[in-house]
This record gives sequence, C-alpha cells and structure tokens, in this order.
Amino acid sequence: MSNVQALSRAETAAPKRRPDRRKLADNVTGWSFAGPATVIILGFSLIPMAWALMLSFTDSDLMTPGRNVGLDNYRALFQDPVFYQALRNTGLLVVLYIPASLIAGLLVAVLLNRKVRGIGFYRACFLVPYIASATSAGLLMGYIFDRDFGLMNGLFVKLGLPVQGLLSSPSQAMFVLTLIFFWTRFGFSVVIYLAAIQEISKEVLEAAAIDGASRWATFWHIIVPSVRSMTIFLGVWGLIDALQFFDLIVTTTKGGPANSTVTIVYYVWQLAFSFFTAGYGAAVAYVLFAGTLLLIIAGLLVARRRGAMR
Amino acid sequence: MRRALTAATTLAAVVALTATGCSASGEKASGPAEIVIWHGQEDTSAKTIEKLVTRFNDTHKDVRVRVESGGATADGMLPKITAALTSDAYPDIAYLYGSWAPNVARNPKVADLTAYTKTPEARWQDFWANERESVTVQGKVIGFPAVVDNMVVLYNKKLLDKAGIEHPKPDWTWADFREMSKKMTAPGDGVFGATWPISGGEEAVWGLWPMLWQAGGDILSPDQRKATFNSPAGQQALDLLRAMAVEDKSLYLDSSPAEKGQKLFESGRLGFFMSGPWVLPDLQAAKVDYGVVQLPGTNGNHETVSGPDNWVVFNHDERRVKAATTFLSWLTAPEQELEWMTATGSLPIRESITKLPGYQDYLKKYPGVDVISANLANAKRVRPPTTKYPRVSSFVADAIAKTLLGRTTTKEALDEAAAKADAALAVPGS
Repeated sequence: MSNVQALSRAETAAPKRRPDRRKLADNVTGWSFAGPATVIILGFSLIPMAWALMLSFTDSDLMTPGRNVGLDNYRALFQDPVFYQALRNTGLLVVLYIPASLIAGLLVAVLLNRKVRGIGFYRACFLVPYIASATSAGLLMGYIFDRDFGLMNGLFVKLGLPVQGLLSSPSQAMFVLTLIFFWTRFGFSVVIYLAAIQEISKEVLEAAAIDGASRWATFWHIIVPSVRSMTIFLGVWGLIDALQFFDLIVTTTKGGPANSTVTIVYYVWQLAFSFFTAGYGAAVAYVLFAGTLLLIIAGLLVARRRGAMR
Repeated sequence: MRRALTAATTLAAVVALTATGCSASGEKASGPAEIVIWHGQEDTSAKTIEKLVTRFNDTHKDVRVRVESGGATADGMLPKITAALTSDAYPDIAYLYGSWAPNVARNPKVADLTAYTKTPEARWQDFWANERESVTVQGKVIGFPAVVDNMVVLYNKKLLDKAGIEHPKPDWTWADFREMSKKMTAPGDGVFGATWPISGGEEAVWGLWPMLWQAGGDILSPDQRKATFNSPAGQQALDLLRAMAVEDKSLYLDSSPAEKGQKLFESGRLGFFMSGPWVLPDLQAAKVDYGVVQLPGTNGNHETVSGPDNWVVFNHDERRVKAATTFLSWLTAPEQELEWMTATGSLPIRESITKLPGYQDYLKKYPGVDVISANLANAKRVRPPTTKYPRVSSFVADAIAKTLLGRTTTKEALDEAAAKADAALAVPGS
C-alpha cells in the first residue's frame, strides 16, 4: 500500500520536478551567458554612475570624503560663466558637426559606391583619420593650424589671403577644432552609409533606371529614404560623440586661448582633476548626461513621427 | 552615454578593479618590509631609477622595494593616485608635483614624516630651502624632495650673432630682453625673439611670477585669502609681455600645450626660450648651439621660480612607512643623487652634492647646467601652497591670453582675474 502510494506520489511528483530541474538548468545556462556581461555593466557603468550621482551632492575633492552640500553644486552651476561658455562651445560643435558629417558622409559614400580600379584604396583613405589616435591627430593638426608656422596660413599667404588667427584666436579656435573633429570622425559615417547603400536591392535601382529617373531623383527618392535608419543611428551617435569631445582638446589647446575651446567634458575633467572640485565636476557631468538623454529622446521621437507620416 | 561621466566613471572603475588587488599585499609581520613605489618616469629616467632600486634591494636585507611606473607619467600621476587612495590600493611612495602637495596632504593616508626630518640621519637642512617648503604642508612633512628645477633663459647663439647682438650677461634687464627679442625677430624667415604659451594651463602662468616677484609684488596676500597679482608690479610684468606681443610682434604665442616652443627653439626659430634643466638633453640631441643665462632682472633682482617635485609617502602601517623613509634616505643621498643627475641632467637637490668630486664631470656633461644650478640661489619662493592655486592659475592664464592677443588692456584683464580669484579664495574650507 505504502509502496503504491509512494509510487504514485513519485509518479505525480516526477513530472512536476523535472520541469523544475530543467528550469533551473535553463536559468544556470542563461545566467552563465548573461552573468559576465551583467557584472561588467554593473561594475563599470551602473555602480560608478550611482557613485558619481552621490558625489555630485558633496563637496568632495577625492582626497577627503567631503561634506554633503545637497543641491548646492547644481545651483552654483547656473551662475558659472565657464560652464555657459563650455555649453556654447559644445553646442557650436554639435550644430556644425552633425549635419556636416551626415551630408558629407552620404555624398562620399555614394561616390565610393562604384566599381573603379583601386576603390579599396580610396575607401581606406577616408577611414584612416578615424583610426588614427586623437593624440597624433591633435599634434599634427596643431602644427598645420598654427598661426605663425602652420601650413594653413602658408597656403593663405600663397593665395593672397590675409593671415588668420586659427588656433591662437579665441574667435576662430573652436571652428578650427570642429574642422579637426570632423576630419577625424566623418570616416565612420562614410563606412556606415556605404554598407547601407550596398544593401539597397539592385532591382529597385534598375527599375528606377528603366523608368528614366535622373541621378538626382535616384539619390533623393531611393538612396536617401533607404538609408534613413542609418541616418538616425549616425545622428544619435554623432550627438553623443560631439557632446563628449575631449581628447583632441588636451593635445591641441588645453581649452585655451581664454577658455574659447573648453567643452563640457573637458571642463568636467578640469574640475575633478585640476581644480580638486570633484563633487562639482560630477554635477556638471550629470547635467550633461541628462541633457544628452533628453536630446536623444527628442530626436528619436521626431524621427519616429516622420517615419509614421511616410 | 555612459561615457558622459568619463572622469567619474574611470575613477570608479579603477576603484572596482583594484579594490580586490590591495588586500593581497596587506601587512606582513616577518621578513623584509615590502613597499611599492610609483615613479612616473620615462625613458632614461625610468631606467636609472629602476637600476638604483635594484641596487638598493641587493644591499638592504630588511626592505624590499617594488618598482611600478604607476601606469602614468608624472603629468598623469594625480588622477591615478586619487583613484588609488579612494580604493585603498595606493603605493607607499609616489612621485608628485609640488603644486599638488596641499591637496594631496589633505588625505589622511598621507604619512607624517615631520619627526623623522628632525633626526640627524635625515640631513634635512642639506636640502634646498624651497624644496623643504614644497614638501611641507601646514607644518607637516609629507615626503622627500625628488627633483628641483628653476627657470632660466636659453638663447640661440647663432640668431644673436646674426642680429649682431652681444650674448646676454647675467646682469641683464627685462628691457634688454625686449630689445634683443625685437632685434632677432625676422618675420620673413619665421624667426621670433621669444615665445609665451597662451594655452589654458599652468605653463602659461608660472613664467609671469618671477617678473612679478622681482618688481616687489606677490601672487596672493600672506593669509592666501586675496589675490594681489593685479598690483602695479603685476601690471608692469604683463605690460612688458603685451608690448612684445602686440607692439613688437617679437613674441610667438604658443596656443598648444607647451612643447611646441621647445621644438621651435630646437629648429632655430626662436632666439630666447624660457625653460629649465629638463630640456638640456633634448637640446644636445638636436645639436643646437645654445647658451644659458639667469632670468633678466628688475633693479638687480634676478629672482626665478622653481617647481620642486616630491616623493610623497603614504601610510599603510608604521613598518612600511619606516621602510619608505629608509629607502628615500638612501635614494636621495648624495652618491645616488649624483648618479641620477648624471644620467638625467636634473639639478642637485642637496647642497652637499655640489662638493662631490664627480659633480665636475656632471657639469661637463651638460653645458650650461652650472648656470641653472647656481640659479637655485635665486629660487626663493614657491607658488602659494593652497588648494585653490590651480583655480587661481587658470584665471591668470585667461588674463594672459586675452592680453597678449590684444583683446583687452593689461589692467582690465588682471583685475577681472583677481576678482574671480577672490571669489574662489573666499570659499571656506581647505
């Protein structure tokens, strides 16, 4: 009797237990895949972010624990002329760089999308600046755009144009840096666009050709809409990239002359590691974070609405 | 997006990574005391220090020194050490610039060597006065002097000869400096009399201080609560540079982080170059026919500025602090120092070194270093030992750039910088 009971219990229990065990095994397998990534994301992103948020409510100099100052760092921010200047400089970069990199990237990608001898070489030419380190690019460009000894002014003189202040001029330095930034980054847009253009199916292009579409019409009505998702991606990517512009500044101007090339991230770095006001620096970093997030959300919403209208 | 928090994130990542590493090298009661040094040196300097450490380990049974570059050059040591202190993974000794001392000293893990420096074996008075001042923060000695330097004027002999000017004599004045620079300037050949950095860093600022001091001014008030660099002495100093940059156009304004000036001097494009002993090995390699002279003077005062660097000691336990002082006493002893100086061209950090027989060979190896070494006597003051100095310096860097570019008058620029500095200095704490 008890045997039968035991048996039936075992029978009824067995099917129940087996999925449990499988579930556990699935969980273990799942976590063993996701675990390392989770640990890395937690350790390198979320915990540091939380820590930085806490830091932004203190007056820490990283040498001593610091006192809690509540929202004072954020309040101080709005009266800080250098912060506003950094905001303006970074904004200028974003406004100039994003459209330029999208337009130039697409045009160059179209030009490079053809079968010519040595096309691989031409393609590589546009990608090399992107691969080059910011340090070498910065040093090189520092020489080219030097006011007194640079190639650029040498060229201007040869062409009979007046000598420009370039990196030595507070009103021109940020434009020059934007140009350098564009030169080092837009190769990435070219590569992405080129890949997207090559994905456009031949039939569509052939159909357009048979219908007698001009080159311009093909470009405007077929290529541009086809790479739309890449344009959104590159826009978001470029925005993040531009808002975090930092490395070239260290190797070209260190924020000078007269703060004319201080960007937000450079200012964060200065505040934390030169001026020993890490708490304040963290507050600036968080404002940048919030601003970036809002801009991206707004951008994506606009892009989505446009997509729905089409 | 995550990178938006670049500075803070890197820092915390280092924290997370190293937090586990430090406990492994915890206290040990028996055997030799193990200490770690982050030297931050490169090339020849790094090799020399590693050689010296090996010799120390071979000759000392009770202390074992482990060399680590600290993963950073001297320039980048501050963020590294900050992260290491936060995460309890700090070394016993680190090479840190003197201007960082006031900030670093606030950390409770910084050792206090004050008592040790009073013992005869430290031979503390043998170090130059400005070095001792630089490693002492509010009466607390936080380490040993490591390297000392001072500012001199290097001149290109060929350019002076070409302009038909006699080489500068030690008793020259700033008016001489201006006139000679003007004469050497030849825009057609791309030659400038001298250079001044206008980037946003300390390199643009520290050269102004000796001019200010010579004219009787000072950077801050004695209690370090008020900026005084906009005094008539400060205006006079910056006015001279402004006249050179704007009127004579004899000053090449260097918007890059300082190194470009040195390269231009090496390639014969600059008549004068204000710098220190560290450029001598490079100048020799570039085969420049150079001369060295002390700074021009004001009313016979040739005061210069110096930036002593320190070996700062951090406290793990008493035994390791003692081991660190044993090692640093050995490393900074005249014999070892002379070897280091001969290899790297840096200046004597102790007066007694100049009396060693090998000192003459060192002088022969680096032509001109005798002038820089003698100029140590003109290095009377260091930059204000306050945690606010880096901020104050950034305001002055702005003022210098604006003035030299002719955007504003000297007085306006300095007054504006002083007002900003006063606001920063008024913030309580530190």
